[in-house]
Amino acid sequence: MTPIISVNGIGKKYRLNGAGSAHDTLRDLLASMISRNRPERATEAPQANPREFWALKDVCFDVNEGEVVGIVGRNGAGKSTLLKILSRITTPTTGEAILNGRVGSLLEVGTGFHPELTGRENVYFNGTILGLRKHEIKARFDEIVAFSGIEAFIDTPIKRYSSGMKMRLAFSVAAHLEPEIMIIDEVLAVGDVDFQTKCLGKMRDVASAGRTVLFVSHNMNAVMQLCSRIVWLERGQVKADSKDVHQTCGRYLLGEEGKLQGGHEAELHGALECDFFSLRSFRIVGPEGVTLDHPIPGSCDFGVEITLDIHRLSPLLNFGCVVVDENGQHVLWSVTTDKAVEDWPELKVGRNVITARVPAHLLNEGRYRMDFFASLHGQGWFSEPGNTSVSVHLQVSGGLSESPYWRSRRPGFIAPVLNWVAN
Amino acid sequence: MSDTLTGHGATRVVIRPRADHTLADCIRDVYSNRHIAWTLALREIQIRYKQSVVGVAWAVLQPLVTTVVFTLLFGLLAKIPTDGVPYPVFVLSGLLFWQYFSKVVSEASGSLVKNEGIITKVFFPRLILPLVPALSAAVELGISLVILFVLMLIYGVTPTPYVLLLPVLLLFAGLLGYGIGLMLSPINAIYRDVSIALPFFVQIGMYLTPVIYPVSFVPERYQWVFLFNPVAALLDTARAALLGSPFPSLAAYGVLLLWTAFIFTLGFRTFRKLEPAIVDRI
Repeated sequence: MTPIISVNGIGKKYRLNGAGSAHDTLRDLLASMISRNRPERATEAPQANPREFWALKDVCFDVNEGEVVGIVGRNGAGKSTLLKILSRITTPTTGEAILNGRVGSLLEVGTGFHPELTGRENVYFNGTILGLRKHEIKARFDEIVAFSGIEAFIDTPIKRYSSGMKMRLAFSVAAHLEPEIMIIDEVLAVGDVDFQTKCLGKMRDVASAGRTVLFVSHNMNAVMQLCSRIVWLERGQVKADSKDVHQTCGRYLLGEEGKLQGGHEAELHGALECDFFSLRSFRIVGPEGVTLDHPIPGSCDFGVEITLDIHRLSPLLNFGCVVVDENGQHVLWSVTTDKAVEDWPELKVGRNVITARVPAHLLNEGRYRMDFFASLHGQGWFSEPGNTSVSVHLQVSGGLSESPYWRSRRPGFIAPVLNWVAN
Repeated sequence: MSDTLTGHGATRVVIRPRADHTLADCIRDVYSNRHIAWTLALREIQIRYKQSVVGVAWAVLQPLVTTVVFTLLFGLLAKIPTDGVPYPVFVLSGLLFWQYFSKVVSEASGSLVKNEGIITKVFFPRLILPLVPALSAAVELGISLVILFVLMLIYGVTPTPYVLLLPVLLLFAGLLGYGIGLMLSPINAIYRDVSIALPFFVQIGMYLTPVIYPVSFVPERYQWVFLFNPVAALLDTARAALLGSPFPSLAAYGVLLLWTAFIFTLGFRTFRKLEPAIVDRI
């Protein structure tokens, strides 16, 4: 059987802004032709060749008809670039890809919607752009509108829609196109839970009808539910490609196999800096303050230690951690502003070491990831759980209770030992 | 699988670093996606008048007011001779034609930037985009032609049978504008300077083209200059067909054909060469 998608050595090179050869205006181009020394612009993080950056490098894989492939990877791993190349939005720098079918892609919310036009007008317009004839759109129109659940607003200009409504309509149009290959990039980021469930259901239908789906999401639950195969990208390259979805997702969620990375040091593992602070380290620490890089029993408590250089104070600053299990479920969120205002840790400009202890007999047996949490409350993320490069790993193994009966991992998310008494 | 669905092109797609399209492929791409061009053009017109109170009347009002101003300035004050044609009719016919061409050029050149939201999210042959203004401006021209005919009626100017040539002339003007748009739109997507400089050149272009004066107004020994202006040939032919003024020489048509072929080929080549960079650098 010939694969429906064949990706062969695809690479994509971007020139970074501020690099000498990327002229923003004709004037820059002309100026650089006249004089050799160009004005230096501030560039951060010097790389091997700071002028160029390979978003994808030598990516190869084949997809057979009817496969639902989840593409996972951290931000900047090249997932979206790959989908853009496969949907012919941008061209690769090297390699070649062959698609044996019509592609329908939903890369971002509101694909080409025009704000002044009504939902109805935009459905027709969007359908045409995506390759449908007028009568074909007409035949599907009611279905599209019904699925989106925005019947009441279909004759309202799109500019009055919420982002969730735009998303619903865009997904609805894309899903009813019936392409042989459906490419979907992180659509579950917007919309309520009901609609997300509906989207997943629709994608499942598409897949069970024998069509091929390429799906990018940070929602690992959705990936595990939907996909029959995982392609894991890291720094633009395929790190893993496997049909054992659960095992691969588990590995992805936990990072490297084998040794546990209990600490994130800015110098070793990458900096996180903003106007407000620079992160020095984020660690899981044992009793003596040493980084925990080995499994601990459930009977031990442990510490979380955040070391920061604060540049600017704000009462809105939140720091903390989020514990995520192997299935991508958040087990707990804990932040510095959890308590009443007077009990918040006092932060100061300069070096701060913030610690908290996670009590014994709380986490169930298993492997966990702990994401660094940093935000300006209600304003935005510096480090968003599930979407951050600052995360460490933790394994709880044994020691859940002293009881002779209950020695292995117990059902349920957490494993507290409550005090049962009889009177 | 629904077999009623029609996609863009063949079901087998090969994605390679460089688009290995030939000129023929490009033209086929444009032709097979002409319904997208129409949809985009209709959307353009819909949007333009959606939130305006006077609506489509703007398409009539604009040239009408310009005609009044030009008639006062050049017809009554400067007294430009127009080969016996009443000045308002003379200038409006020129203006409408020139405005069509200049609109196509400037809107086509800005088409990629304007549709950034679409081209960075959906695939379709981007060659279509600079073509859209040629269609939408034609619809507007159609509306404003009504006042030209009314004006001709008032001044008692009867069109010659050659008036039937008008669509052909428009087609040529549209193709010329499209060709220039093909050349400038990708450059504008990368360097925004084009959209800044273009209105200036369009303005100059109007004075270099016999819009407000007839070719006969220029001393005979300089009239050969218009030979190199393809729009002048088109415009003069349109006037000849409408108002019965003299047709340009055969040489002018030869030059026009050469120009069109040259601009078109150059446009396609530029577009094809720059296309891979557009999305990454827009």
